[in-house]
Amino acid sequence: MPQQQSTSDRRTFLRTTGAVSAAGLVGLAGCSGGGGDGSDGSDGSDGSDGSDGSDGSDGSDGSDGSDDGDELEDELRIFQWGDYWPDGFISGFEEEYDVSVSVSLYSSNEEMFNALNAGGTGQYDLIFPSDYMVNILNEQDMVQPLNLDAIPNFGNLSEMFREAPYDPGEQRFSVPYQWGTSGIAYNEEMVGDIEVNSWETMWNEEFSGQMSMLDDVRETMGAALKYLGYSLNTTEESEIEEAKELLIEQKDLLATYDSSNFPTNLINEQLSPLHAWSGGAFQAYWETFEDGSSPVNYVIPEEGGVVWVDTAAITAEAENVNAAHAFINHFLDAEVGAEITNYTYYGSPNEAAEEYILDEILDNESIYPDDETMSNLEFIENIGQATTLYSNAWQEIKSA
Amino acid sequence: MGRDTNNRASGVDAQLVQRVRRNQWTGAIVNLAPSAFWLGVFFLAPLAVMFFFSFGERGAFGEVLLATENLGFQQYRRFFVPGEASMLGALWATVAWLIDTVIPGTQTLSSTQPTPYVRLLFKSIGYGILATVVSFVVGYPMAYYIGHIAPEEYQNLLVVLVILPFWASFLVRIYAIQLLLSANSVLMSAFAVLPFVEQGVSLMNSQFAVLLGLVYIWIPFMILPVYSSIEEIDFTLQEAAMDLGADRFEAFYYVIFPQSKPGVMAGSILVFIPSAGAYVIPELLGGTDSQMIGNFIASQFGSAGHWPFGAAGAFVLMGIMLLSIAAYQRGGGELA
Repeated sequence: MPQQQSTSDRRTFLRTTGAVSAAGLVGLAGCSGGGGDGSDGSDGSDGSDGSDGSDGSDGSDGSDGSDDGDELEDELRIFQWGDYWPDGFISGFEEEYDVSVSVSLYSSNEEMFNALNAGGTGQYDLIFPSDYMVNILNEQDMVQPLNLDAIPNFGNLSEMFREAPYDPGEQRFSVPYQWGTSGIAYNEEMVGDIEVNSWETMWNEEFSGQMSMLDDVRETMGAALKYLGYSLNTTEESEIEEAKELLIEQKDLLATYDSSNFPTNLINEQLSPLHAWSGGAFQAYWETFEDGSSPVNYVIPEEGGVVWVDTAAITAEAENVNAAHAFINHFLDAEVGAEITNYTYYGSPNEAAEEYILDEILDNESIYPDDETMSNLEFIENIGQATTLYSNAWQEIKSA
Repeated sequence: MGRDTNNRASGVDAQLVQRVRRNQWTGAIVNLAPSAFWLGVFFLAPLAVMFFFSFGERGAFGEVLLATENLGFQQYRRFFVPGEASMLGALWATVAWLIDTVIPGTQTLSSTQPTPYVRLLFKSIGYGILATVVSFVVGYPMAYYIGHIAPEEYQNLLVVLVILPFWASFLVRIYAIQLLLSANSVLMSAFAVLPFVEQGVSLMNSQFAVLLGLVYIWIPFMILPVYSSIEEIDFTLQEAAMDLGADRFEAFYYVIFPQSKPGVMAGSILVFIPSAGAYVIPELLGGTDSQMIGNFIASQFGSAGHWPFGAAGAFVLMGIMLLSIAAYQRGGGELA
């Protein structure tokens, strides 16, 4: 109870300070006459806290170099996952930069990709693809290289995320936004104090009719492949086939495939155990937190699972490129980055932000796993043509 | 008077106007142009595009390939023919599977199963038929009551009550059902009082939930046409039949029911079509075992990113619906 109190207090506190620093930025921007572009942002963060001086000065060096007089556009069209930043996050950016933002939502990478494919990439300026999707989008020339000079806060990223296996090369096409894992979540009120350490739990007949798996090809196929001891990026037809059979076998035990309602199902004791993304599981954890503990648990199985990074990328035909860069720079700010993680309970790739992230998040091994667990986790990779094998298998599973 | 002046002033023009006005096609063109434009641009053209797509091929990243070498019946083949089987083999597998499913006891007439898509298609048709039958069984007595038994002054009120749910959004009502059917809801807790119901049971994510949703949403489409045909019936015929020796049941079965048949026909079709093609209801209420062909088509256009296959599925569904409705109407026509 007291801890929950403090959480919400700190959230309110963070939100308020966010608003105050936003106001400060607007003031500063007014003073400098709006001449520079990226430099406003870095000046602002220096002014509001002044803690990471070195990063700040790096940043303003960069923006000095790129002072081409690129004005921010009036508008920014974002295509983003649902519920991925705190309330008021967008209006904060709008006020600070005087850009009007419109946001559309999607619920899977494939859905986003197909929407861009069907309607052209010019529909949106800024998108938030996951790791492997960055690679696919890049191969299809659907994203454009970023101008890192316009993103001085890029230096805030931790070493691990500054270089990305899914976005190699000199030019960067994506900037990490949030990262997390997928694993098994359960509510003790529903299943008791059970021992979960393997994916085997999700095939346990004892929990028949009260489990769900994510409604996501690569995640759920990945879980089955990991359970079988294979890589979740395998392109071996026989291994994919085996995983498919395993999932068809599992179908009778499941209540549903679902990627959006699982936190609610955990909170309301409707389904448990279930295949979950870490952030959703932790939302449920805090929602049910009382007297110093919560009945909701989240476990990364010992066979390993998925580690993923959602990134921000600018579409190839984006109309508001400068505003999109400004937005990326905005969320990479240390305090803003912390504000996002304190809301989502996903890991932040932003090292400078850790100072402002709640201790209960930083110390939680299910959010920031230890090195041994990390070594069992795999990124979902772009596997080219083999994608068809996965989507065919998935289709057969869903229709079986 | 005004017209005369007008005619004299511009004789030739007026004559032309008159000729156009009297032409037999003018009325037809004026009346049909807006709807023809609307249907042509927003219905036929997209349908034609999708039909063309259904012969295409999927590229590695979900793009639709429509070059000549990609065109063919491969999507339809994939829908109907399992693995390496021949056309005939696929047909037999489907028929055998249908017999196996419909008639209990007989097991595995054919070694090859039909494709999951074919099974999904028939399952959806099954849902459609079931929803139609339940709507008929529940809706007919209600329509009969409103159209014949209820006092005249209440009839309109009762009809309004049937339509009333349409005033609230479809989605809101489905979510309300979700709340009612999940474990420990008001409804489920009330049921738990019964001796054979366990505490904490949930009806969500089940075939029952899907059927309940389908019937609940579409039943007004059964009640209204049946009501309108019952209201037209001259019930003195029933008295006449009973005077001539028929009992109540016979009078209903031989005299009243046949006259309400056009309403039952219309109602059945109106319930069957949206039920068999449902997408939102199984998505929100169903579980892993209760997905329907609509969900399959939606996922092909969405996460699976296989437009040609989705288009093929949609046209197969459309074809089957048209065929079954034609058969039903022909059969019904002979019976009436």
